[in-house]
Order: sequence, then C-alpha cells, then structure tokens
Amino acid sequence: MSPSLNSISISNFRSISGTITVPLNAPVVLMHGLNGAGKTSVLSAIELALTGEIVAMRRADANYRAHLIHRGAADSRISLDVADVAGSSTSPHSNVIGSNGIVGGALLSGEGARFFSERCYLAQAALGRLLEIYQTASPREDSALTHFVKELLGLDALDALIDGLHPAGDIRNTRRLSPRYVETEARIGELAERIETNQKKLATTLNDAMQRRVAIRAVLTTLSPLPEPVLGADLPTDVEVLLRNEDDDRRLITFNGYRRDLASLRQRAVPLATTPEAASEAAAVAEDQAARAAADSWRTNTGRPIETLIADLRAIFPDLPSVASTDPTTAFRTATTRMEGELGRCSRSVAADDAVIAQIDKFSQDVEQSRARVALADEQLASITGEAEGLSRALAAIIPHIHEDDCPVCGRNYGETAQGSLVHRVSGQVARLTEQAGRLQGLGQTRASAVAEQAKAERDRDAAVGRRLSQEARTALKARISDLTEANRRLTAVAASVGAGAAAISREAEAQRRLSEIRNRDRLATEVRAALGELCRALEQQSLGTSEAIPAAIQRLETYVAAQEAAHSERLKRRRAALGQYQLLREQEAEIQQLRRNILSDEALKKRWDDAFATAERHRQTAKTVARVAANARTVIVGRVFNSALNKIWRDLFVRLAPTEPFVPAFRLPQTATEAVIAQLETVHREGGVGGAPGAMLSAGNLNTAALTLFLALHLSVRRQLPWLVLDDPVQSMDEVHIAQFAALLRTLAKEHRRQIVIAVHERPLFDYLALELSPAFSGDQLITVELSRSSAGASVAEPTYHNWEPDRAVAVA
Amino acid sequence: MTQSQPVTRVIRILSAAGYRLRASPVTVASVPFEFAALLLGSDRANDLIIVVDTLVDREERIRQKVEGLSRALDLVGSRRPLTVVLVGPAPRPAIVEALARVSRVLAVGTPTGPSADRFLEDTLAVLLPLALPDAGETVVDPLNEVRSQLSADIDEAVVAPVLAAASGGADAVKGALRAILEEPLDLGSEGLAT
Repeated sequence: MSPSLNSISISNFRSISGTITVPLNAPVVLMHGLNGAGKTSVLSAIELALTGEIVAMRRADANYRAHLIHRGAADSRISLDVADVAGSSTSPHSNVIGSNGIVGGALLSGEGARFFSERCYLAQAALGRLLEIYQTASPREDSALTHFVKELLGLDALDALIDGLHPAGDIRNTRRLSPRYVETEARIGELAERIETNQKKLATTLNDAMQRRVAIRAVLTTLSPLPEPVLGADLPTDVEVLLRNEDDDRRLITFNGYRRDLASLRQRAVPLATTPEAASEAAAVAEDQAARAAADSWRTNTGRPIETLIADLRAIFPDLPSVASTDPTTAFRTATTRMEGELGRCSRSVAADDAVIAQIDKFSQDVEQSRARVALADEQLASITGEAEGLSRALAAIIPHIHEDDCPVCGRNYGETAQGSLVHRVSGQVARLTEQAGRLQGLGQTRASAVAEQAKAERDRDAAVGRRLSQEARTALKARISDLTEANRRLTAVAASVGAGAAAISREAEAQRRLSEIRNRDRLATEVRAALGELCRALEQQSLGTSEAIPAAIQRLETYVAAQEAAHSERLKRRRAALGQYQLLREQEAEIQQLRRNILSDEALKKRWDDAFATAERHRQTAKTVARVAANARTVIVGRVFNSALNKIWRDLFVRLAPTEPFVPAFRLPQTATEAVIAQLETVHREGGVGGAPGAMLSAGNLNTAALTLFLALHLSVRRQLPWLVLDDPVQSMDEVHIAQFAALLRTLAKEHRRQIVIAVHERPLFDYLALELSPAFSGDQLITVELSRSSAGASVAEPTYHNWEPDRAVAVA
Repeated sequence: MTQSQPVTRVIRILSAAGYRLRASPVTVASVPFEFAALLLGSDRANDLIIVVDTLVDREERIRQKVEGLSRALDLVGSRRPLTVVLVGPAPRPAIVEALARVSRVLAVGTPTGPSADRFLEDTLAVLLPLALPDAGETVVDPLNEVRSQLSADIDEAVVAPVLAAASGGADAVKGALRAILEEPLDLGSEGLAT
C-alpha cells in the first residue's frame, strides 16, 4: 500500500471557524469554495500537520505562527489521519496551536517534510513565486531562479563545496584565504635567504680568516723561527705567547737608553770640539812657569815697597786693599785716590780756618771803629745840650731805643694817635728842646748807627770765633797733611812700576787659566773615550781606535743604535699589528662558530617548515582533487537531471497543457564543468532551434502553465517518496483549452501514476468540469468533492460528496 | 464512412495508447451520431474521443453533432469526458470556441513530413500515457556522488571536514579548508625562528 491521506479535522484554524472534517481518503479530492471559505486554510493545515511549518506563510512573515488561531478562538486544533506513511508517528496526528506555540510537532520527518513542502504542495504563493522567477530570470549566479533550482536539486551543498574549495585551486587564492599560508611561505623564504646569507658570510669569513692566519704566520716567521713544525696556514698553539713576547720592547728600551747615553756623551764632548787643541800642555806649563817667575819677581822687587806703602797707608785708611788681594793697579789706584782725597780735605780745612782768623781780625777792627764813633758822638752831644740838655739828652738817649712806633717808655703804640712816627715826634721834641735840633738829631742818628754797627761786628766776630778750629785739630791736620804729602811723594815714585806688575800678574793668571783648561779638556776626552769604550762593548761594536775621533765614534755608535732602534721598532710594530690581526682572527673564529651554529639551526627549522608546508600542499592538492571531482559531479548531475529528466518531463507536461504553443520552456545548462550553475530559462521550438526567454516568448497563460508544469515535473522527476499532489487553485488564469488539458493531465497523474490528488478551486464551472473529468474510471476508483461554505452563524461547513464508479451505460465499451 | 489518412494516423496513435475504436455511428440516448472515428478509454481514462475531419464535414454540422452528442451524454448522466480531435483545416475560432464549451478540443490539422507523427503525438499528448523519468537519474545526495567518485586512497583528513562543512555554505567550506591547510603549519613555539 502506498502512503495516503485519510482525513483531516480542523478547529478554529486561520479562516476556519468552528470545526470541520474533510475526508481525504480517495485518489482525488476536489474542493470547492468561494474565496475566504477556507480552501487554503484546509490545505495549509495539512502542510502544518505534516511538516510543522507553512512555508509560504513563513516566507511572507517569519512570525506567522502567531496568526494561525482563528480570530476570537482560544486555540486551534488539527488532526490529520494518514495511512502507510513510513516513519510517521501515530495516526491521527494532532496539533494544538495555543498562545504558547504549536504543540505536537510534525508528522513527517525532516526529509519527508521537506519533500512534501517542495515537491508535493503547490501553494498559490509558490506558483506566484515560480511565475516571478520566470519573469525576472536573469543569467546571474544569485538570481532567484538559480537559488530555486539549486535548492531543488540539492546543488547548494555541492556548489558550497566547489566554491569553498576554490581557493585551493590557485596558490594566489590560497594565500588570500590563509594568512598563515602566506606567513609560512614568507618564513621559509626568509629562512632560505638567511641561510644563504649566512653561508656566503661563512665562506667569506673562512677565506678571510685563512688569509689572516697566513699573514700572521708570515709575521711570526720574520720575528723568530717557529718553535715547532707547523703545517700549511696553521698557527702554532702558543701563537699568542709568541706574539706577546716582550723582548723587542726591552731591547728597544735598552737602545733608547744607549741613544740617550750617546746624546749625553755628544753633549759632553762639545768642549772638546770647540777648544783649540794646538797648544800642548808642555808649552802651557813653560809659559805658566815663566809668567809666574816674572810675577814673583815683580812682587819681590817692585811690589814689596808698594805693598809696604799701602800697609803704611792703612794706618790712615784701614780698609785699603793689598796688592796680593787685588792686583797692583787696583791697589795703587785705590791708595792714590783715597790719599789725594784726604789730602785735599785736610788742606781745605786748614785754609778755611785761616780765612776765619782773617775775618775775626777784620770784625775786631770794625768793633773798635764803631766804639770810637759812638764815643765821638757822645762827646759832641755833651757839648750841645744845656738845661734841657739833660732832657734832650735823655730824649736823645731814648731815640736809639725807638723802633717803629712802640714807645719804649710807656709801651703804647704811637701809631694809634695817627700823628706821624714816634721817632719824628721825639726828634721834634728834642728839636724843640734844643735849638739845634737838627744837629742833635744827626748826632743821635749817627750814634745809633754806630752802636748798631758795633753790635753787628761784635756778633759776627763772636760767630767767627765759634767757627775756628781748635788748636789741637789744626795741629793734627797740619801733621796729617805733612804725612799725606810724604806718602803722595812715595806713591808717585812707584807709579811707573805698577803697570808692569799688573801686566805680569795678568799674564800669570792667563797662563794658569790656559794650563788648567788644557788639563780639563784632556781629562774630559779620557772620560768620554772610556764611556764610548764601554758603549762599544755593550753594543758589541768595534772598540774605539786611538786614532778614531770622538765625534766620529759617537756618530758611528749613534748610527748603529738608530738602526737597531728602527729595526726593533719595526719588529715591534709588526708584532703589534700581528697581535691585532690575531685578535681579529680569534673574533672571526668565534663568528665562524656562531655562523655554523646559526646555519645548522636555521636549516633544521627550515626543514620543519618545509615539511609542514609540504603537508599543507598535499592537503591543498587533495582539496583541489575534491573540488575537481565535485565540479565534474556537478556537471554530470546537472546534465543528467536537467537533460535526461527534468527538461524531458517538463516538455511532456507543457506540451500536454499547451499543445498549440510551438515554443517549449527549458533549462539551459552550463556547458562546461568550470562554469558556475546559472539557471537560465530558454525556450526551444518544437521543430528544433532555440527561442528567447520564456517571459518574452510565452503568453501569460502559457507562463502560468510553464510554472505549473515545472512544479509537476520536479515532483515527477524524483523518486516517489510521497505520492501526493496538493494543489491550491492552480488554474486561476488558464483559459478553457488549458483547463481541459490540465484536467486530463490530473487524471493521468491520478489514474495512471497513482498520485493522490487534493485540489482546491474556486470557480464553479471549473469545479464541475474537473468533477466530471476526474470521475472514477474503474471499479474501486473514487472521487470526493467537498463544498466549503459558511453557515448563517459564520461557522465553517465542509460538505463532502462521494462519487463512486458506475459503468457507463450511455456509450458502452464494446 | 471512409477514413482519411490523417484520421487513420490519429486512430493508430490513440489505439496504441489503449483507446479502443468504436464502430460509427454510435447511438447515445437513442440518437445515432456519426463521426470519422470514435474511441473510448478504459481503466485509466473513460474518455469518449471523437475524431472529426473538417475537410469532410462542414463546420456548422460538426458543431451541431458535437453539441448534440454532449447533450445526449448529459441526458443519460454519462460521466465520460468528451474530446474532439479535429483533423484537417482548422475551423473558424467561433466554432472551436463553441466546441470547447462542451468538450476538450484537440486540433491536429493535417501534419505532413517526417515530424508529422511527433506533432500528432504532441497534440494528442494529453490523451496519451505519461512516461516518467527514471527516478534514479535524479540525484538524492550530490555529496555522496562526489564521495563515490573520489579514489579510495584519498586523504580522509581533508575530505571529511570539507564534505561535512558543505551543507553550511561556501564560507563554512572555506573555513574548513583553511583549518586543514593551516593545521600542519601550526608549529607552535618550536617553529619560531631563533
């Protein structure tokens, strides 16, 4: 037995109010009702019970479940009775739709449910969608038709596989897909590059080190013979010790010392070069003796009296130098100078005293003369004065005592009276006292003058007396003058011999100096020679020949020392350079070790990455193979499904419904494996040749037919899982011709191919026609027609009519 | 009544499809009706098919006969659907329309040439059996097909994840592919350059 729908009870579901029961247990169930009577509600209730969903509603509104309960009702109930459905739960299957959702689940399992929704149930919306797909079909990968076809054929997964594996096909795409892939390639590249760089560096460094070793070895060989046989470019094990040997430093220091010694000797030998060597010592000695004899002779003969004279003079001049202590000329000159000086001084002192004596005599004469004049004046005055004589005399006696205007009597200043000078006043008084006033005045003046002169002379005389030498002094001076004069005479007598003495002594000194000089020079030459001899021995040079001049010998040794110094400096320089090179060599050897280690570790690392990358590459190739196989499979599947199955049955169905339409719709297929599946519709002329797109070539009615037949073709082209076709008013825009053809097709599907057909229509003539066309054709065949309507109270009513087969008596089969 | 060649062809095709030719004229509700041919379906379809040669019968006459037959069938309560096959020149549209109101009209014309039979079959297709394609030719699971075409020694470590990801879409496959490619490249810390 094949699976069959038996009946459905529906309560308060969508537009169905109350409860109706629709019998379905016939090969064909034909439902009629006006719009809004609940046809679509019944069919969607079947879908909901079978699949748990109403796909067409879900497409329009994801929240459609909230609107399933009939308005005003508390809940909806659906009970579907089926028979012989594999894997179905107990039948009847019940769903209760409450405010909390749908209870009861789906009667069919996932695959079965999907099959029903896609291949068995043609909702009005699905037909509309099919039409829409036709009209908007464009050759795009994301077009609705492509999606639809892929979905229907299950190509989505295959395309996902192909698209998803696409990056494996081309390394550039793989890189875009996986950054790590790129990183790995880069890392391997970096490692390879680093290894190569390090290997180049290693080769260069090795070569460098070898050359350096050869160079160091060459230097070593020149410095000293190698202590052990060393092959090739190898270095002795103690190379650093050999290079660090300080002998050369020591030698150089030693030679530096020698050079300084020689410089010192050269300096010392300078006098030897400058002193004339012509005078021999013997001549100098003779000369010296002669000069000394001459000088001694002078000292004994001529010099002695001079010395004696000077010694005598020391009684006067204690500090006179002796001839011995200076030289005769100096001693003589000093004595002469001092003696002449003293003599001059003594002579002047006596002369001065003589002058003072003369002055005293003169001043004494002046005193006497003045005294005589005063006495004379006094005598005349005494003769002039009478009675008043006394007063006149007294006044006259006062006048000499009047100086300026101070009164010698009262002491007052006569100048305060402003009546002339006091002298005139007194003189006038005198004159008035005497008749011979003028005379008296003259006498007075004369006397006064004489008294003054006398006083002055007395003062001068006294002063001169004070200046006079004492007698003892004067005597002593005279004695000294005498002595000095005597000494002067004696000096003058010897003056001539002083010069000779001085010359002799000078010659003596000169001869002595020269002798001493000659002796010094000889001693120096001896010392220098001895030192040079030492140096010759120390330097292991030819000893100093007697005929070899000192400068020449110094020059010879200096040249030698300089050469040695240069040689050792050079060695030292090379040694240091070699040591520097050796240190560089050591560094290079360390670097070589490091490079070798780095290369080894990088190579190990690279191998790991290479292996990993090779594995990834193998995976990529495998993925590529899968992609290729998948692409081939798709080509095969698409070709098989479309060409052998889908297009063929579609054509058959379409031709049945539109026999007069010369263009038949068909899927155009991708021509190659690589081409993406782009579902494109075309038309094919029945006589051959390709037409345009269906939308352009077919009438609206035929487009509808094309959509309908595509659905039926899809249903028929797969294994018959569920032999049900549930169609919701599929013929709304068909003309009568098409409807007649469609009815015949439905009959063929029901009778010949055992499809259980549930179809709802709203047009009465169509309903009647279909009822006739789908009438039972043989014994056991059955048709149920259901009239959906509403009671006057608004409750839904389903009125079934059962049509059984009756033999046709009108036109009997012969 | 003699049968023209086109009528014979129609009869041959329909007979091959299981329709049985009835002698003409046929009497329905005591009324005799004569047509070029008359065929009856059996189990699968209880059609009554009349074949009319428009070259022989006049249009109006054809209409009268078909409408008469239709009324006669209604009269006796027959549930046989009536199909009229028009052979020969197409009648006026008004006639065809009138016929279509009471029957299914299949106008086959006068096909000639090598594709004549094919044309006839197309036109009569609705009356003929429907050949369904072999269901095995349609694919149930394309991925299984892919798997069956892969060689046995293919690396399952690569194949299994990508096939498993296929139902999740291209991005899921890409993700799986990326994981497969990157898995060996994850050397962790030991792969880090020193």
